[in-house]
Amino acid sequence: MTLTLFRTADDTRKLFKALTQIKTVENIFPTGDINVYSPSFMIDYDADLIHCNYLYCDTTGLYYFVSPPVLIDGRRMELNCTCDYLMSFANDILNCNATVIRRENYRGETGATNVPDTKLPVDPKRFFYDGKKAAVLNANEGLNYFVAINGG
Amino acid sequence: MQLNSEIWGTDEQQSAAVSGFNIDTYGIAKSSLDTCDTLGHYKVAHGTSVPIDQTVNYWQLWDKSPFNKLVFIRKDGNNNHIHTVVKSIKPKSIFCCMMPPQNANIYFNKNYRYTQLWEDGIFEPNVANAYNNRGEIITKFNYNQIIARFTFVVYLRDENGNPTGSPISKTTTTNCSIYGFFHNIEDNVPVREKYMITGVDLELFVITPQGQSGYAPNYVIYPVSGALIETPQPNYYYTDSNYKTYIRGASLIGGGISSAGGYGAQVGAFGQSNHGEYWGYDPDNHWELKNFINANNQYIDYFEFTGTYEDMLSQCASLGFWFKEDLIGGSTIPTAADPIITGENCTNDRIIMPIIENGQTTGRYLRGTAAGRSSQAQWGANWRDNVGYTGDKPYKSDASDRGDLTTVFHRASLGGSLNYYLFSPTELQNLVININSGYQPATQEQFTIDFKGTNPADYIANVLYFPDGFVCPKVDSTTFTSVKIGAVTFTFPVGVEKANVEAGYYKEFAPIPVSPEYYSFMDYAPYTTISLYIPFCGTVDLDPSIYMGHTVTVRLYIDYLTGSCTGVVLRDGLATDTISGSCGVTIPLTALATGSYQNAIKQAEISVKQAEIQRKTAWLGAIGATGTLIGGIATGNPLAIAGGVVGVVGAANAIESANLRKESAVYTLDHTAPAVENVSTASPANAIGLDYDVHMLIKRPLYLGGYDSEIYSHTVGNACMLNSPLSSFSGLTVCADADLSGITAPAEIKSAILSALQSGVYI
Repeated sequence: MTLTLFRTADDTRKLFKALTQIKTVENIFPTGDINVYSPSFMIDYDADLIHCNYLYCDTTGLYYFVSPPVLIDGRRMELNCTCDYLMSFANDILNCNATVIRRENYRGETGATNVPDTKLPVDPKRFFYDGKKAAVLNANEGLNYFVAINGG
Repeated sequence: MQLNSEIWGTDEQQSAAVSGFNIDTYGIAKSSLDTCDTLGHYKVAHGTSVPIDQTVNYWQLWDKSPFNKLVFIRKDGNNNHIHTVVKSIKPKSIFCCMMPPQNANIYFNKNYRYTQLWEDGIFEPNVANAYNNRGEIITKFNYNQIIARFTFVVYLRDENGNPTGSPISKTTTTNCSIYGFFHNIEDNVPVREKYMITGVDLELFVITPQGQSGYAPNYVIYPVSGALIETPQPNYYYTDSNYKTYIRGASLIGGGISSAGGYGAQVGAFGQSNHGEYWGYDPDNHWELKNFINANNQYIDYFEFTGTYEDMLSQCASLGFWFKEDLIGGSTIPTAADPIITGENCTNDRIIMPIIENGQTTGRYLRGTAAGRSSQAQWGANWRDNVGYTGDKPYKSDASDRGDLTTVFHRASLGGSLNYYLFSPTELQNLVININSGYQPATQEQFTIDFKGTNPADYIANVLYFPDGFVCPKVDSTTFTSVKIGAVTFTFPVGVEKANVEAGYYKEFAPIPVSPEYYSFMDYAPYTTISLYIPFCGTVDLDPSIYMGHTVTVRLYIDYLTGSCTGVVLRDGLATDTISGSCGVTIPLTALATGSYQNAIKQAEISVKQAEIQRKTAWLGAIGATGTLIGGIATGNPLAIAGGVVGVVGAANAIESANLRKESAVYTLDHTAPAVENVSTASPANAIGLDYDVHMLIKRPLYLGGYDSEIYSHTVGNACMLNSPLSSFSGLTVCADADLSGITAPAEIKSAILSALQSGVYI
């Protein structure tokens, strides 16, 4: 199996991570049981790989987060990996239908909608008044006293 | 009823149609044209994506549409045809017409996005609503009201069967009628062998209430021949140096193309003086988009009608817009020259609606009532009603009002056994003097005859004082210097007026528009509150969801017989709220009897002023409370007047003591709505000029300092409720739930994916 090691600075929650390839390590063979989704690989020590944090394995076809390597005797390194299922299944995930309750962009549109957002930081102490007034139209002038009289 | 998506295509179909508009494969220089991005975006040359309005609709042309199979012929400087006939299958492009706002701003979902710069490349906007920068629709697309008129370019054939000479006529000919072209035989020779129809000019018009109009303020219609697209201009008739005409297979014929209004792309007639540039496809250069400088070096797209008359109708129907079949100049021809009724009200069998299915014209059509009752026409009506194209099942998703929303207020004169007068203070005093000392019956019997033995003051049923601006109207300009009380005539030096007592008489205040600030949920409760103070009545709380974006008008209905009044709040002509109050102050009649009337009048005026002050005070206190304030208490009790407790004071006290805070039953707030506080020294209140104005106070929220909408969107996300494939989203996306079918992975992994989606991922 061939391992491709990368560095990535992207958030772990990102589906498509930007990867900087460091090295490819070939001819890796299992030395024990391998859990496909959390494998450990034993490779020859390589100083360039000390700070790699990401890995792709051609045999499994999966992407993995790599914990800081364990340097062991015999000039070897142990890479303990955890499957990055988001990147590994990214294209399949994109095809899934979902009910989304928070989003940054939807078809390019940004901004709030009319769904109330209880997390939006509204100032609890400050507000502003928007005042309007309206005068009576056709204010009439005349005699002020209305008198009803029984007479005639 | 057919679904909207079954007519104009699903999102996927429209996406495919848009992506099919890739003319790179036809050799168009990339610098001139760009491919379309995903649905809802067009890329312009400098790389910016321009989103389009969600209400946009467009459709592909029928495979057999003439605009999908066009040829070029070239003319030389002498207007003679050079028969370079190159037949080519044009890209299956989206037919559209221009409907820009005057400044060519592009809006997406009512949010301003981009000002389209036509120099950047070709942009073929689709038929859509247009919005201004306040998110208000200024141009509504209405599919049903855009009609097409076709004019046909007819040539004589030369000996080789090619078009020759100048076109005989655009609409019909005396030599060859369109109908005759297909059906007539002269001298045993089909007419079509003598003539040929080489092109169709299409003009689009909008139907106005007055009928067809070649130019309408809200729709900038461009005469289109083979989909000639022009840049939007503030004034269609005039050009500037940036005015470009993009020609996708347009006919450029000597003499030009004229529309009914005499405006437009008259290429030959106006030439370069009216248009900055002509751009068209050069068939001799790999269809590269080319700027034609020399108007004489023109390229013409044409196709030849060889089918039947019904085929011609199909060709016209392939363009997708309503048209009419009419008899013009002896020729039956598809046109739109007469005012016609299209859309869901169509009943005339001469009116034709092209059938559009799955986002593509079909060449088939419906006539008359069948067209009007079709789902397609109904959806076109929904556009007019601003529902917009959603691609979903038909349901109402907008806030457009419906139905009869006008409240009718009735008025009627009130008769009765009493006479109603309007007195000045002086004359009222004279009345009292007359009663007290002016009337001197000679005998007790005379007194009995005159007043039936009762106190003359008893004949005065009521005396009320009304403030300036709200006095009872008078019957006419007549003044009466004598008034009968009982059977006795009393005279008044100056005179009094007769009151015009009418049920339904009201004073109306100037309308107040209630406009949103944030165009989001922030404009509604509990974030935004609205208080409305109505003179003499008190304060009502208005529900922002009812009034936001509408106009509030207040009417004060005054009962002059009792002094009570009712404030009516109207939302765009519909009465939505009422509040009771007291406008008139009763003058205690007992004071008349005691002879201390002058003091009573003074006290009443003082009381009115006190009431005004207290009204203001009560209102100040009422601003802060969010509980519903009941109307002012109408008290005509003279003693109460003397005590100065009038109007809203009592209710205001109730509010202050209650100090309610409106709890939202629906929304639980983390960062809570602004805490309601009583306003004790609100400067807006101090700034009140007139006492008798309606005052509206809208209390609007503010964001906390340091709020950054972009960072917030990226880290917290904007609240929504959207159901869509995740590919429709980008950036932070938080799901309530998702269907993970299609992911081939163990259950544990799927569970972990779902958990990640629910806590938020970056797509």
